[in-house]
Amino acid sequence: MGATTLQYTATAGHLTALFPGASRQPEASFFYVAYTLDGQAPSTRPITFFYNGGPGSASVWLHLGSFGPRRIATGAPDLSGPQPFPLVDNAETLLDVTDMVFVDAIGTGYSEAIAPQTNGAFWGVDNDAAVFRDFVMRYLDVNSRNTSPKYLYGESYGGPRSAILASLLESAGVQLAGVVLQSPAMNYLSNCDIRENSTNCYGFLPSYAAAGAWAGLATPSPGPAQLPDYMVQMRSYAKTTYLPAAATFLSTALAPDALLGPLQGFTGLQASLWRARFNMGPTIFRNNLKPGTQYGRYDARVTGPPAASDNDPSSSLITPSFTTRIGEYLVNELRYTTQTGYVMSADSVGVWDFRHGNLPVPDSIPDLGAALAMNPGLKVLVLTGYHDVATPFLTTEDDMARLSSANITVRNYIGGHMTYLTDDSRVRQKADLAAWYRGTR
Amino acid sequence: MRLRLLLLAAAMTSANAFAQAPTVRYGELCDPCVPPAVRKSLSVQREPSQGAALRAEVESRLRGPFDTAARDGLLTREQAQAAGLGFIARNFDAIDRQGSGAIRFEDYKRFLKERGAALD
Repeated sequence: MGATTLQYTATAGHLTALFPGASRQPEASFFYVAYTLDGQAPSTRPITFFYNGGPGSASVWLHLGSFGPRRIATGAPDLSGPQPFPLVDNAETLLDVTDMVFVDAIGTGYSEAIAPQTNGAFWGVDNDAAVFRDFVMRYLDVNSRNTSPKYLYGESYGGPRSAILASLLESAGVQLAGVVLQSPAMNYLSNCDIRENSTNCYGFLPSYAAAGAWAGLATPSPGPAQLPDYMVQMRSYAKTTYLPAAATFLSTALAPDALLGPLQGFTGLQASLWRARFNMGPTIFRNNLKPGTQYGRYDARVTGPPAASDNDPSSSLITPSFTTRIGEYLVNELRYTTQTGYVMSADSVGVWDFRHGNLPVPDSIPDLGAALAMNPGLKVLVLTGYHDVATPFLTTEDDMARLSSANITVRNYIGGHMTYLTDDSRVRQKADLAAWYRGTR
Repeated sequence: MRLRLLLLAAAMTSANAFAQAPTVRYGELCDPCVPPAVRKSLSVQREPSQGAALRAEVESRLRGPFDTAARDGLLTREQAQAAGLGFIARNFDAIDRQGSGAIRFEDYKRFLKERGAALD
């Protein structure tokens, strides 16, 4: 790492989560890869549990893309390099700050239910969070880490999973030091990509402007250095001008003529499309910003040729490399072999029980509030990408603002959903994470 | 880097030591996504809860596990422990101000508020 060499131990294997209560019956067998810095006192050394979301995604994106000791160099947003992208030492690893445990959800990676349980029994918002709780508690017990400062790091659906998991852990008596939310989907009801016909899309507008600016199609099209200041203006425009107009459109289907020109200017997307689809969801935006080009959902800076409307070039251009490299890495570097395949993505989203707290899909902000109620010292760091049109940063900021908590810090970066894939942003993110971890001690 | 394999991992590999890379099952990630049937069910407008309404939801998240573990609204330390409510069990004496051996949710809530929780 720079001029420093970190000596660490990588542990790959399974750990059995046990049902809580007196029975302590085996529940599920979690696959994980842990990285622990050698020569440290486990009782005081921070430990962080990382997982992606989906639901149904293995934690391979964080494991091999973000802050582990090895990472896949994608070159994002320029994904035109030879594939598979190389696996390299990670100069921005967090291993100097915290031990790391990358754990796969049930039905992904090599994680599976233990009979008589089935994988499907854990494919729901509440049961998934509960079994993650049982894994974390077993890991802490088995590895004598109960006194370590403890952290969660969840991405996307891993955001609501983290909020609910934090509440469950605090309730169980496991005090967390912090929670990191990477591009989290905290409230499914505030994301208009999930329900475009009834949720106001204002939260996406600044991200469209950032994407249009990157493509050079918007007016103005500020460069990356000017983008943060420009996004301050776009937040304000989105909330004070566009939001009420989009609310009117949702109830009357009438788009105000006066805003169509400005919206075309800010985003680069034709005024006629704004007229027809004034409450603009990201799929229409990314498939129509420029004829003959499809823009990415996770990272709207990434382009590809026209494809199925739900295709995402920023995902399809990296998935083969992550798939190849995790297979090679587990066998050739970690020497972990099994007879079955590592499951990148479980077919669980179609049967997932999304119900949570009397709603048909999760709003996990009250769960984070419950965790903060039990642990007023809990710190929360939220990391977002300006060019992410899956979980846009303004929506996330407004989700978090509901709690009015001084414990919550939000940071924005140039880049998409996986901000860490962008080299400059990963460097900044590492610095911000290191400072935040210090502040939680 | 040193490598350490868990016993289970070692056992699983013994019959098949360091064979070829296992096939990795490919799948496109869509996150966050919901299936069409769930999407269709979300047509009702609902603004995110704020202020007092949000605090009431936070309270209901705290009340749920309490009420499940309690009997007639009263919870003992042993009941809390058996239900996995380690936070309440550990803080039981501070919550049980009267030393009656059983607490109500209102006792728990008062304890949380005194420690700074944003509850009404």
